[in-house]
Amino acid sequence: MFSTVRSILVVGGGIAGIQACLDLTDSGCFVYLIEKSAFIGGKTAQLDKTYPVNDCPFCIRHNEYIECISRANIEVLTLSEVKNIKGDSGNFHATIIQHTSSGEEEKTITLNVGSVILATGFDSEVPSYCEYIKFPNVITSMEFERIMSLDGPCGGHLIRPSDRKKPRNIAWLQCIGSRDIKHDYCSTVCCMYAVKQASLARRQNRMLNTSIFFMDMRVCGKDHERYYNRAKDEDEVRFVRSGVNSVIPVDGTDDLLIRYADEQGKISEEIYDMVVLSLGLEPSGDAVKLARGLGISLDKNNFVETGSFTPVNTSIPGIYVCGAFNAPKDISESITEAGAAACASLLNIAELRYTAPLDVSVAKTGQKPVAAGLVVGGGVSGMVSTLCLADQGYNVFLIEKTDKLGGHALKLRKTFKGEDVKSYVKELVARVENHDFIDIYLNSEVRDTDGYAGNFKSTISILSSGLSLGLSSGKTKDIRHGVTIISTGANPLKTDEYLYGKNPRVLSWFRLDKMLSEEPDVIKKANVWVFILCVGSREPERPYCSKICCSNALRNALELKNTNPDMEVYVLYRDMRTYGLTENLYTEAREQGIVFVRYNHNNRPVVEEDRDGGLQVQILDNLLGEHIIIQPDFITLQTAIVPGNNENLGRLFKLPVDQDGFFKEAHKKFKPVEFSAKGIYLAGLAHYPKPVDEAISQAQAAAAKAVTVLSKEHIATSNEVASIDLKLCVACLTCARICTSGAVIINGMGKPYVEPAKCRGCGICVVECPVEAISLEP
Amino acid sequence: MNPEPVNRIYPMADNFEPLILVFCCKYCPSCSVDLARSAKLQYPHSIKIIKVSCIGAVGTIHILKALENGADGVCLMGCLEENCEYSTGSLRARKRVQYVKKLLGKLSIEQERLEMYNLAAAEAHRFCELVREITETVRTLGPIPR
Repeated sequence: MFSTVRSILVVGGGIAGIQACLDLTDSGCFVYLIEKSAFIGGKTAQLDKTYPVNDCPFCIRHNEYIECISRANIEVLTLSEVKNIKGDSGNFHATIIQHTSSGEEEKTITLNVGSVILATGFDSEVPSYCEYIKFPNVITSMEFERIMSLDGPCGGHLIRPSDRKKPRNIAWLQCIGSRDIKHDYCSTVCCMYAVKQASLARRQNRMLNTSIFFMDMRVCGKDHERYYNRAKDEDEVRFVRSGVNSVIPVDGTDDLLIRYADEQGKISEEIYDMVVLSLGLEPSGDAVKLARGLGISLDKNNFVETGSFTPVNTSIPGIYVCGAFNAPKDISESITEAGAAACASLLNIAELRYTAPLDVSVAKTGQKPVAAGLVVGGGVSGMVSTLCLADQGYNVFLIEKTDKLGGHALKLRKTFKGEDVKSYVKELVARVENHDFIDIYLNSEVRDTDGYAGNFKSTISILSSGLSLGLSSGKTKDIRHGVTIISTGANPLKTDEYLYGKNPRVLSWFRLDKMLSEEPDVIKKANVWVFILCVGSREPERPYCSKICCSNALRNALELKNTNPDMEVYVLYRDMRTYGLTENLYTEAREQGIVFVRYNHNNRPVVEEDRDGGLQVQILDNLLGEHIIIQPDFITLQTAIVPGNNENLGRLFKLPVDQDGFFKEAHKKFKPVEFSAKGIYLAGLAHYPKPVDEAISQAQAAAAKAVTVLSKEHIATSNEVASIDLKLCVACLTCARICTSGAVIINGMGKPYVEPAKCRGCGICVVECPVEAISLEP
Repeated sequence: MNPEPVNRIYPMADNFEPLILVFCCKYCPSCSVDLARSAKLQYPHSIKIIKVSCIGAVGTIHILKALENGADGVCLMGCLEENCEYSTGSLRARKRVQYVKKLLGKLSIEQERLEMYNLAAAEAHRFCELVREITETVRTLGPIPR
C-alpha cells in the first residue's frame, strides 16, 4: 500500500468514479477507489442502451472497467464505506470500513490521501404518493431497462411481469420524483430515457403502442432533439402533454387504467397493459450522511453546493464532487465532470506529483512528449484550460482570433445561480496575462498543424496590427506542442424574425443583459415585457435545442420583476427546458406572477408594429384555445446559439464536424471531451451550447486529458504496432487508404511509413496488404 | 497470427464432435466469452477460441488455413458494426466472409461451415446459443472432406 500523500481517494465506483480514477492514474497518481457494493460499474453497467446513439454501454466501457480493477496504481476497495475524513487539503486521513459479503464489519483502514473526490451518484426511490407501484405491472424505469437488456432476466424479450405475456401497449409517466414539492428540481435525464425506452420497445415490436405522458419534453443535450423527433416521426411514439391523475387497476385483469387531464383540462381515460414510472434522481442517502458529517454544505435538495465558476469544488478545500451528487445529470456530463474533478484534485497535489511520476504506459517510443499545450480560442473555457495546464507547470500557447480575451462571456451579466460573470472573466484574464508559462497570441490564428499526440508542430500567423509578443502583422511563428485543445466557442444567431433589427424595442438577450446593468431607468418605466423563446432553435434548418435560453430568459425575467415589481412579464415558450437545478428559477418565476404562454411550432406568435411604433404580439393560447393580444413595451428574443466557422478549423486539424456545425467528439456519450485523433481535446461551446459552469467543467476535463499525455515519460503507443518491410513493399498504398487512424504516412520516396504513436494496432492493414509486407510487432 | 495445425484423430462418424475455430475480436465478443465463462454457461467444449486485435484482421488465408488444417467449421465474431473500435473492421470481415463463402462453393465445401456474427459485450447467452447453433449445423454436415 502506498502511504504517500500523492494518492487520491475516489468515493463511488460508478461511471464518474471510474473515469476520475483513470484520468488520475493516467497522469501518474495513485488512487484508492471506494465502492459500497461488491462490484464497480454503478448504474451505467445496468443499462440496456444509451441515448442518443443506442449503443450498449457495456460494449463501450468494459475495457475501462477491466482497466480500473487491473491497473497497478488503482486500489479498489469494494464493500467499503467512508466513515470519516479528517485533516486539511493535501493531507487527509480517511477512515474506511470494509464489510464482509454478508454485511458484517470486517476491518477498519486508515488512508492518507491528498484530495478526495466524491462520485457517489444517485438513488431513485419511488415517492410515497405513487402507491400504485404495488400493482404487478407498474414498474420503475430501471426495471424496464433490465427487462429490455440482453443479459437481463428476460433475455431481452419485452414481457410484462404479471403473466409474462407480450404487452400490447405501454405508458410512461414522467416527472415521478422530480419537479414536485419535495424535489424542486428537474432530473434532466428522465425525458430522454423514456423516449429511448419507448422507441426501442417500438423497434422490437412494431405492433406495440407506446405513450409518454409528460409535462415538458426536456431534451436539451447534443443530438437529443433529433432523437426525440425521430422517436415521434419514425418510431411513432405517442407524446401526450398532460397531467396524470391516477392509475387504477382494471378488475379481473392485470391491466391498468390511466386517468389524465390534457392541456385543455379535458379528462380522458385509457387502458394500458403496463405502466413505467420515469423515476427521477436524488442524492444517495449514505452520501448525504457522509457529506453532512464532513461539513460540506448542501442545498435544499441535498445536492452539493458548488459555484458556477468552480463547478466541482465543495465548500471544503481539497474535497471535490462529480457526477449526479453535484446535480442531476446524464452519463456524458458525469464523465466530463469526473475529468474536471480529476484536474482540480491534480492541481491540489501537482507539486508532489513531479517528485516521482509513476509511468503507467506499457509500450512506448523513446521520444519524450513536448511539455507544452496549444489552446485555440481565448474564451472562458479556453482560458480555464490554459490556466489548468499552466498551473501544473506546462507552457501554453493561447491563440485568440480577436483583439481581446474573454469571448462572449464578457457580454453576460449573471449565471443562473446569480454570480457576476464580468468580474470573474476580468479576474481570469488578469491571471492568464500575468502567468509566466502562458504565451498569448491575440489577433492570430493557426495556419498549419501536423504531428501526433505528444509532438505537434503548428504555425501561428498574426492577422492584424495588434502586437503580441513583438510579432508584427503578417508574420508567422512555428511552435511545438504536445497537445491541442479546441475551444473556439459559438455565436448567437443573427435573426430577422419578429421585427428584430426593424423596431428598436425588439431586443436580443445580450442587449437585455446590458440594459439591466446600465439602463435601469428604462426598465422602471416599462409596463409590459415579452420574452419569445426558441427563436431559431428547434427549427427544421436547426434541429437542436440551444439549452441555455430558457434558464437565461427566466433569470432575466426575474431580474426585471425585481427592478420593477409592477411590470407584467410574459414568457412565450414551446417547452420550458429549465433542466437540473435551474428548475427553481421556473418555480420562482411562477410564484412572482410571470405569465407563461405555450405556443406550438406551427402556431408561432405574430409580432406587429402599429402606426406609432408600438408593438403588438398575437398568440394562440393553448389553455384557453383562443388568441390573446399583448401590447408590450419591449420584446426580448432568446435567439439560438450557432457554431462558428468550425469547418475550416476542422479541415486544418483533421477533425470531424457534425451536421449542425459543432465539433464531433469521439463518442457522444462516453468520450465527450476527446476527439478520435489522440492528443486533441474539445472544450466549451464549440462542442454544443452550454451554460458557463458546464463549459468550465469541460475545459477542466480537457486539461485533465491533456495532462495524461504531457505527464508521461515517453510518448505512449499501442501494445502492438504495424511496421512495413520496405523491401517487400510495392507502394500500392492500400494501407494508407484503409488505415482509420491515419497512421500511414507517405514519405518523400513515395513509400508508406507507419507512425508508431498514431497506430492503434488493429492489424487490418496486415491482412489487406497484397504482398504481405506489413506485420504487427510488439 | 497463423492458426497452428491441429493434430486430431478422427472419431467415428456416429459420435462425431466437430472442431469449430472461433475468431473473436478482443473487444466486445471476447467480453461476452469472458462473461459466459464467469457465469459458467454451457457451450460445446469442442470449440477453440482465438482472440484477435480486430475481426477485420482475420484474413482469407487464416480462414482457409484453418479449414485445411483440421477445423470442421470457422466462426467469426465481431463487434456490432456501428461499435467497431476501428470503425470499419466488422464491415470488412463481413465482406471477406462472403468472399470466402464463394470460394468454398467453388471447392464444393458447404458454405454453412463458415459464419460471421456481430456480438455486443453483454451477450453471453447469445454467444453460447450461436456456438451451439454452428456446432449443430456442422455436426449434421459431418467431418470436412479432405
